[in-house]
Amino acid sequence: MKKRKIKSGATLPIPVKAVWVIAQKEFRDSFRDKRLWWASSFLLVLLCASFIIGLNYSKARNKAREEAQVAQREQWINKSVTNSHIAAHTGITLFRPNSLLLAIDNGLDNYLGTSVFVEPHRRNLFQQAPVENVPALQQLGELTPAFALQIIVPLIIVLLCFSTFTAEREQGTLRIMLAHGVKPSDLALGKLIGSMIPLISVLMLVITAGTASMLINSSEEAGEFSLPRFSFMVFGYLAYYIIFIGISVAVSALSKTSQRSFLVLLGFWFFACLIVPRVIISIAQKTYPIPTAEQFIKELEQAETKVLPFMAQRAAIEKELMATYRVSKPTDLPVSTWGVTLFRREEESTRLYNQQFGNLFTQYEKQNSFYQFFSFLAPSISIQMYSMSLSGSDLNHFRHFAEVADNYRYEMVQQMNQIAIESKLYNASLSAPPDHPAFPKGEKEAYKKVKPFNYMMPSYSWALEKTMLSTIALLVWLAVSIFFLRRVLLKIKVL
Amino acid sequence: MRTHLLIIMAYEWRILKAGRLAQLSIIFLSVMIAVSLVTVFLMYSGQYEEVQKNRKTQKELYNELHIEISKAEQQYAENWQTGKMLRSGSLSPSALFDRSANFRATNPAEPLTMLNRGQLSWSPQTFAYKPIGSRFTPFYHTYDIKSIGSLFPERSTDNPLMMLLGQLDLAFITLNIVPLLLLALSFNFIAFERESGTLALLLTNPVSFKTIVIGKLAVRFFLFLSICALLPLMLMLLLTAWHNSGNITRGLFINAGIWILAVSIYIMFWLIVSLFINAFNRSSSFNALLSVIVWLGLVALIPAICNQAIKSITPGNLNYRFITIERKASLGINAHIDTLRTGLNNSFNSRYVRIRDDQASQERYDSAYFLQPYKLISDSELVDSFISFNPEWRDANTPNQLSRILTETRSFMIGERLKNILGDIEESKRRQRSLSFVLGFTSPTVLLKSIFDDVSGAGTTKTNDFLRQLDTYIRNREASFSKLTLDFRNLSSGDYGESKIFTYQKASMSLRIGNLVYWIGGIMIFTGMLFLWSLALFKRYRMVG
Repeated sequence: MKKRKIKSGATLPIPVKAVWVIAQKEFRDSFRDKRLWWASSFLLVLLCASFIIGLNYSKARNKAREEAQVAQREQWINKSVTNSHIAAHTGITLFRPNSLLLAIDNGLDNYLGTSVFVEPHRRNLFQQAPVENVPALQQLGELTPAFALQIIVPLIIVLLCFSTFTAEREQGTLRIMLAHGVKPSDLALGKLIGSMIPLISVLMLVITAGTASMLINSSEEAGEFSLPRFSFMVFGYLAYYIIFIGISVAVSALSKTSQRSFLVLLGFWFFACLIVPRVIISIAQKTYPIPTAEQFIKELEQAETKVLPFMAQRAAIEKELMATYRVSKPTDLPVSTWGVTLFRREEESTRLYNQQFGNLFTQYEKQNSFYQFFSFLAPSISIQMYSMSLSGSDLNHFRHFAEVADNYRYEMVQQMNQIAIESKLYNASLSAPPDHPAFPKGEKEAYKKVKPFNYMMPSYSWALEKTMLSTIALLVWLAVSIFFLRRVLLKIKVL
Repeated sequence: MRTHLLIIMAYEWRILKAGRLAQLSIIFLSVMIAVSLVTVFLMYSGQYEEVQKNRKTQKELYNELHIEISKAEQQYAENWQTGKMLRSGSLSPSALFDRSANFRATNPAEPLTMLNRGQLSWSPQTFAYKPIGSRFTPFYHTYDIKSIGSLFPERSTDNPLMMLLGQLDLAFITLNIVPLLLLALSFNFIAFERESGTLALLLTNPVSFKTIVIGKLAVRFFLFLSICALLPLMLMLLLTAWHNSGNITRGLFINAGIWILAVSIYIMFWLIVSLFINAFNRSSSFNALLSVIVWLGLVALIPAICNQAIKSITPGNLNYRFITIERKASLGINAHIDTLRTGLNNSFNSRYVRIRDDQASQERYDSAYFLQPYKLISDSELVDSFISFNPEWRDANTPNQLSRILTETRSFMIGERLKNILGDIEESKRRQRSLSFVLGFTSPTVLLKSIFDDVSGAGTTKTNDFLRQLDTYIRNREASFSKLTLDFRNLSSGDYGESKIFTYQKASMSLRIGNLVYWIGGIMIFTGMLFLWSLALFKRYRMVG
């Protein structure tokens, strides 16, 4: 196709060039209209500031976490206790790691505990959620890139697109343009390209700078950066914006006046981003109630009563072991009945605790699935869940970590109990208190055998799989908005 | 003028009623408020019942102990020489301390909490108190090793997603939705008249421009005030009266009055915002755009920026540092104290043997354990340090007293080791509070939120006050047990009773008045300044054309 310089206002029969002419004209107009540049600059500052603050906070926290985890290990190895079970009782605190993507979307991070104390007999809840150390104003929201990307950018899109067609219609230029053979779709595309350039520039700049800074900062100490997760996040946000652009342009094409188009789109944004999420989660809470802290403790205590009292169980185990090893006196047993009892009780209590915690997490998941289902009603829910999952700050990642931590707890405790089993010091009497040394030699070596806690975040495909419903909803929204826009443009009315 | 004003108001009301946008807005607002009231009232009832239940449990425990002590006193009076000898078993201070130490205290929810959940969604409101070494809860303690036992905050088991999104309560609706709806109904209240040419027509009548503006704004003011403050508050008072058998406290009336006053000033502020926007003499589209920007800035962006600013001044490593220091202190001190205690017990038990069903051996044991001087724990810097801080224990020398010294040394010394980090945490929180107090002046939304938190008792002020009172109560209880040990006294039935149960005393209004004046005054200053600016702009306003 022959290229030639296009002058503003020239009549062109070739659609591609019509798009460019309109885009150029729109860009010139938007360039002259300082409001757009103010909005773009504001967005740039907002995104950069929130990202830098988020990144620094995340890095500082990860560094502190890493140091604290090392200190825990040191304390575990260098403690001096005389008994393997008491050693297990001194426990270890495990800290939840954070990915660097938390600088973009910290999701539920503020509301989830940062550490858990692991010890025998019980599984603890996580403690010290960051929200406990912030003032009460937290309820009014927090300036994070996710807040800007999920709430502010769609509003800017609405502000940029609400008059795409209505302005032309009100000025009477729509009729002229269509009379010149410009297709409504070309007009829409041209206007979008022209008016979206500042916004696209800002987003591209932030994405490039964000990727570079996270790649530079990515380290074991500061937190890891996953490029696939980040890439999927970018695609998700682009789809989200296309949805808003499609809906905004379609509403503009359908509306008679800019004012009506603006009010409809503002209403949609308001409902989708602010109202629907709160209403849906409130309904979810009523539909799938979560036990209160008191009820949860009571359930745990009730579960514990199902386990036999220690001494009764120990007596039964002693009998069983004497029969197995065919010995007549407990002192002749090659293993410690005290150790075996502890080992078996740990198995039993872990099973009971896992069941209770499993029930709690199941209720959370039911609520979240219910909430996710309404992604089909509000695209903001789908992008929120999708983005949270990819940044590793959703409930699925938390549960994954909590389960890995509890497996570690179980392994650590049973390793200590194994030492007790091999020690025959407690076979002399059923009532002998366990205050004799169970580490005959080389205590430290026994502690060292407990491997340091090492957590690997699940892969991006796992994260995508867990947020499948939201991903599908996002794609459905994308398809519907494009289809809707196409239908509207085909039947556009001049007046 | 008054008649004209009423006429303008009546016409404006008719116009609003006829407009579809106004109808939709009012229906939407009313439905949202109704839903929020029902949802949050159910939650409030749950919390109210929990407080009552905890109190009942504690009361039962105390009554049970009271009866037991009375019976035992009678029994000992009949059989043994009362007062001369302290007994082991159920009447000894340590045994009863352990039994009575397990209690839970819940920060009582205020009736207005149902309108503003505030930080109650995530901040622990129930604290379980356990003596050291008897932890049967999955809630690990945080910063509360101030006393012999530990306070275990029972964190909410609510879905974290729910905490993130927040409640759909009246406070959220008033802070966020009401301003937007007010702007939606007022962004062109003058521009529309001007654009459609009716402003000129109106001004041909003997009515001033000021009266027209006041009339139009007054209708919106009363409409919104009734829907989002007067009616919900009246309903809430009725519900509270129903819940409390017709009793409504004076404090509740005052708090409800402050709520209504603050909301009325807030509504006034947003109406002045719409006046300000209209004063630019621009088109309705421009006004709509500006309204959204102002709403977004004041309601969403500025509070979010403030929060981020406050959070960024908090060192992110305090929690981690606390855990590291606390673990180090606990491991070292616990191991040392355990060794000393084992030594004391082994040494004593080998000298005094109790034989079952032999009263003479029991008496010998008790007499030696509670009354006879015993060799003090030797060469313990920790114990020496504890005694130097607590000289009343200097002359303590019976095994019972020595055992108590060990218990107190443990908690006291762990507390000493944590002093610095606890100081850092407290300092960080203090800085956060000061900064949030100052930054509140950046947006009326932040100021109103602070007022809501204060009057509904859902902010940090009440929680901190509750914790302070609970801490004092626990310290006093522990001190009384220590005194019994030092005085060779046993417990008496007078040491127990309902009057000894922890009850939270609400903070007096005089303590809160300063803050309330600051916040309400803040919104008024915002409103006044904007009003003056609008007046200045209106001097150049073109009524026609």
